[in-house]
Amino acid sequence: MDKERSKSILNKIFSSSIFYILPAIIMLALTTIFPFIFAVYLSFNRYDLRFIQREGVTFLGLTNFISLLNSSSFWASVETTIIYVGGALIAQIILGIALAMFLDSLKGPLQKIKSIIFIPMMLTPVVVATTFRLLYNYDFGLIGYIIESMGFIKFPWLAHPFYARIALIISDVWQWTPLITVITLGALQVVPDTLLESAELDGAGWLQKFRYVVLPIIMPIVGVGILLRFMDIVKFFDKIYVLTGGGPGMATETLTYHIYQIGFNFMRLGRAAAASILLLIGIIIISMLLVKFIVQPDVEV
Amino acid sequence: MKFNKKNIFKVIVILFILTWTLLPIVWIIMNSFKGGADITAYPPRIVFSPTVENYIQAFQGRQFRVRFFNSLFVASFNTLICLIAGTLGAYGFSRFKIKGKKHILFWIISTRMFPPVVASIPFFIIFNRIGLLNTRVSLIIAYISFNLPLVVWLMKGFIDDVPIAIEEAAQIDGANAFQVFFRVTLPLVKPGLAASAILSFIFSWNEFLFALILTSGRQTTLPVNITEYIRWGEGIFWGEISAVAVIILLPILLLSIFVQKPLVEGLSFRGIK
Repeated sequence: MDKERSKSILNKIFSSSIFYILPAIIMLALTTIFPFIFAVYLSFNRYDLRFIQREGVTFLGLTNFISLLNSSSFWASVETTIIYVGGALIAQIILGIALAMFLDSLKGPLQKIKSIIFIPMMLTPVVVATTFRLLYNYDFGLIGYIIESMGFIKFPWLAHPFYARIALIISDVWQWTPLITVITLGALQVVPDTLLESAELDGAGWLQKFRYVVLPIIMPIVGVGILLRFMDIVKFFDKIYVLTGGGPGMATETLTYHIYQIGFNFMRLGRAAAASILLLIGIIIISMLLVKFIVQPDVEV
Repeated sequence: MKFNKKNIFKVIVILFILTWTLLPIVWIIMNSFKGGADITAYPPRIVFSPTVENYIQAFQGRQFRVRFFNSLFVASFNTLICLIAGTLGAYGFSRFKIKGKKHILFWIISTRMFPPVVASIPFFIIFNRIGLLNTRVSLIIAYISFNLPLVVWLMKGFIDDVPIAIEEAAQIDGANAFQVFFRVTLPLVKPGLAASAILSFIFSWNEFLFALILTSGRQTTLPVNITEYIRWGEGIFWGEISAVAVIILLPILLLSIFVQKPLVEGLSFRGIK
């Protein structure tokens, strides 16, 4: 009798949705919502690790935010972020789509190349950065040698403010262009052949076919890829840490890196939290714009 | 004739793409087998007498072995936790009517938007308070924030594809809901489980920012190990650095060869439909 009852209770637990979803929801809440709320709390406070024993935590109101918005190094890092994200994202979109169109046109055994181009995505970013640091090396790097053997003069990439940014963008383009390619390749399967044929009959050239037939169909799907890339490039930290350390000067110090510096070099965790909230707001606004203009409103994300 | 020209152009482009993609990987592998003089030689040497000295040096490095173990330990346990909680969650979302399901699922996927640097500051303080700072456990917990959403979404896609009729048939045979999940549905989504496990493992294995901030010394992982070499003395250690780099890449290269298709699907977020 008792056994029957416990069995029926067990059955009830097993057939309720809570049993299945609760562990995941609790874990996610603890590792995402809770830190977020704590970061918001920190952003309104002075939390300086160097003086925490003596001063404790002091409520500051909006002081952290106001001081950041008046800080030239904050705005310098915003500018670097925009250049970096813009440059890397545009390069990856154009190269990624072009590469996908090319791969899509291949037939027979040549298609095997598709399984190779996605390898860089899996690799450890720190290792990729280390490899590029070796390639960029002024004294014995391969890239300098290639530049020299083409008749140009090699130069110290990572020591020059402009080229250091280019160097970072190249290393990110190398690793992540394949993501846009893979997504575009999937999207191209959706384009109906009949539509392309009728466009051809109407006398549309290669570019016109791409612009008026292919692009509108693939853009909502590719847009999701662009959105994912955008969010990842903003987060990006590892390659800067290894390749340039934010330098020379502050030339490659993006907002993410700036937050790391404020928080863990200068130990001002409250101020760093405030900067990270500003970063989050920026990401949300730009993501919404991307969804509105690229992913298109009728597509469910 | 024209046909041939077009093909030659295509082959040239393919060769360029292959070189562009593989050269950095081949280069770091080559360097890991070069002796000191061969690494710093200019022009760079393609022909050299290979040596395993760098690997021996790397393994003898003070903290290399313990950090290698830490990387394995953190990635394995994090993967296990995310796989269990994530698959259960995915099953719940796939099979049950849940109030506000769409919003919860959107929240789960939107946590990916949350930059790690935002979480790193509170994590640092919280783990410090509860005495978990500078432990491997702190990394296992922190990595849940990005691996669990991935597993939930990936597994939900796979479970959605399993016809409910199969489960209903088992239910008539007298199995309870959990038994149906465990004995009927789970075996059918093995490819999804494999993909989720491998992706979670790789993302944990590759992670750097949390490892840098939350751990150091004998508690930290291999990516931190490699950056320490670079900070200390790039000029002297390039051979060892290359060897460590290749050791870090090895499991990833092996894993990604075995499970290409699901990996690509996972990376491009198959869950978004």
